[in-house]
Amino acid sequence: MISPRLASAALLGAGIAVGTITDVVPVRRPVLRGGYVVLEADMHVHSFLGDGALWPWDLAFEARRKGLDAIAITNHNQVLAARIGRWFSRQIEGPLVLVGEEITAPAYHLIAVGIEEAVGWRSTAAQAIEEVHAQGGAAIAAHPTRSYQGAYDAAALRALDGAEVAHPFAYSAGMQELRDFFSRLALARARPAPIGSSDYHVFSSLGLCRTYVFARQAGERGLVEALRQGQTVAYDLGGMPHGDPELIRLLGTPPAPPADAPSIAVLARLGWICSWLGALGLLLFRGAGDRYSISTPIATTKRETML
Amino acid sequence: MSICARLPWSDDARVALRPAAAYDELSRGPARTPFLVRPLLFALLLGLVLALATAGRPTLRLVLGGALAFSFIPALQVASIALSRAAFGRSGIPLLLAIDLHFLGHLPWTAWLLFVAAFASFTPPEREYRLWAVILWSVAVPILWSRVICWHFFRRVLGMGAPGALAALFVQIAIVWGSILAFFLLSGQLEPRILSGQ
Repeated sequence: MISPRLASAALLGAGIAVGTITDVVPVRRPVLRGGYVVLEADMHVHSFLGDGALWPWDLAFEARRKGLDAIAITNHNQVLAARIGRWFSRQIEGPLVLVGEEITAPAYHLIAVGIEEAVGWRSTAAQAIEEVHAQGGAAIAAHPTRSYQGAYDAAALRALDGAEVAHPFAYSAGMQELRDFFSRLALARARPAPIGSSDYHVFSSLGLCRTYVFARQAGERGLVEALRQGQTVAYDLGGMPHGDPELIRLLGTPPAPPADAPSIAVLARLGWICSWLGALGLLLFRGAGDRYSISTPIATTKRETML
Repeated sequence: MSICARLPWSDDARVALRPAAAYDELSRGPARTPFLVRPLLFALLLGLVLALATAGRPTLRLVLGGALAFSFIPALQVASIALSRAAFGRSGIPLLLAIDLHFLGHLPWTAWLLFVAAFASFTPPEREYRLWAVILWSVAVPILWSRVICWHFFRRVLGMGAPGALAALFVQIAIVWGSILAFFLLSGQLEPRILSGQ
């Protein structure tokens, strides 16, 4: 009879093999509307080497799987992972990976996109935005809920390029604070960019909230320029579109994120179940090489004190 | 005998349920697991959990990438065992056997991680905040359970007295969690959060 451990190892191996076979990354074709290239982007993504779980190169693959044309890797107060991600994605002709940073200061969190060097967090919000612009980047207020709004004085609001109006935070805390801040921003400057971002760290929320960027050209510069000029549309979690009404009209119904073909989805689920059960079996059942004496069955011995 | 009692339970399961008796028996035998295999398997399991929880499929790319990324955790644990054994150990047990036996005590963490992977896979991304609530409430179980196992490991395997085992527990926490905190502190990711009280 086959040992439970051997069966578990076989299940695990089969699960990983099936999972790897189903690792099909769909090909993206550019969407053209009214003379613009419409890029689906997630401008707030964290990576390993920071407090994100995935390597920068894995983010490039996962972004493509989620139907994203561009991501900005925005680790807290550093740009190393973003640079690695950009280099890798260029090698595989993957999605645009922009070098970014979540400038994390005690009073504000600011997304810098399209920069090269890390921007210091000890300056005021207005000074940080100025430095982002000096590097040719765009500055976006990250999850500007009430506790993060205080640092944005009149000068900072005038200089900001955009603000997150859609963020997973709103699923638990509501979206009114994000809407209110965007309204304040729209009063302070003309045509701010509404942004939808996932603030991805781990699990499956990459691209959950996304920004439709209307760029004149598809490259990094074109995308950053579009952000600076407010040529974006984002849907908040209430389904309300934000952005220039003409761009909203051009976009029409937002395209649904890509889904696996039914056969691939079934195989992927099968791989998941096999590998999960296999891993559990390997942990729980003894193999031939294990040392433990079987003279003391696990369920028949007296309960011992733990300490 | 019940079916449960007749099943060929692994050393990991026995250590998890009866740490003192299991470690007493295990530390008498020679190490059969090849060099550092258990720490490597633990890293691979971390990679598997990451792949299952993020992409919903165990691709080799994500499993190996996750294992590489989080291999610092078993590496720090190996360092902490080596240091504790040198500083407080009295049993003279070979280091490799000590490391092997220590990683046998990881079932509370590995089982919890598999539970999290399953929960994450069936939680839609827009409900992720619920997942975090479950994680924060349930993580107390592996933390406390693994401390109990470690206590018995230090006492039974490394032959420490109660003060030594307590010090070794502290050293282990300081090395593993202290290193992670130090990384975030030195890379400027933690200080602003401390200053803002978040």
